[in-house]
Amino acid sequence: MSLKFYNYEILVLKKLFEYCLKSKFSSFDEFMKYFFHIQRDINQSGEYLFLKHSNNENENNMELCNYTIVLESEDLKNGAEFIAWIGKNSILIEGYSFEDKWIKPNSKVIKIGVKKKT
Amino acid sequence: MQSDPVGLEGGENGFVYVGGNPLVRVDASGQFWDTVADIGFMIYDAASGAYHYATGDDEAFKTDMAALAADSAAAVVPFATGAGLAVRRTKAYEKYRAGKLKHFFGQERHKLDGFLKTFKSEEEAYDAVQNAIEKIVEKNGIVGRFEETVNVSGYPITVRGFVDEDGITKIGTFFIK
Repeated sequence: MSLKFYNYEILVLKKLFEYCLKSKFSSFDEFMKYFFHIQRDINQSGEYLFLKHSNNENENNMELCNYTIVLESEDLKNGAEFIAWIGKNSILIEGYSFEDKWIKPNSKVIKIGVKKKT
Repeated sequence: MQSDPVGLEGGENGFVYVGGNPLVRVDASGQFWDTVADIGFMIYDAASGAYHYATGDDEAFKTDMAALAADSAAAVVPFATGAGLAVRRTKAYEKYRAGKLKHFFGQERHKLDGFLKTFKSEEEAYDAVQNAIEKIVEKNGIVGRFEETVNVSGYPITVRGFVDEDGITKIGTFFIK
């Protein structure tokens, strides 16, 4: 089953794979194939993108990755950040902006980088 | 045709404001344009309302009707304009704030249930975090992106935020680790 993602989400997923999940999967493709279901919740202030291998997950035990993805798009002056909560059978990517809007699905990404928690 | 609504303070002749010839001249710099703007806003509100009604967007339709009511009221009040825009901005902020509250408090992973119980509402809890982080930002002279942990009601709240070019502290998310 092929999951559909927005362009900016794929860029974020690639960064998260590289910095937070590389030890768990042999390749990005394998990482993407592991999840069979996505649950997306977008509102004005951000996004939750839940990738699930199974629904058997205790969400209280999900751990926060030490890296933050910072994305600049043409429609968000102050950019957006993404953090990843990693569980046993699922990953939740939490995105948030510092403005009263969220990225438009097909907005052009200007820059994407990674910040490690100090 | 109407005498100068400003009254006698505008001069003894109530039609001086239209060059003394109220049949062919209009008030080119005052209320006339104010009213024109209001009518323009009303046409926009009505058109937007019709579109949202047709597309079944109830929430947007209600906002359009509230804006139309505000613009209609402003049309009969001298030098009051843009009331509908104010209504739209207020509604947009309410929607944004509701989205933020859902983002912060609607997630098990954020572990904020215990913290939230120490307040009467999500709004009050949000305001407490905002106030606490603003103090830290001011004290430490933070600019740009930050992650700080603040103690609010005895809970260590990790806040991800951004101080913009106007010095305003904006919270992206917060949670308890």
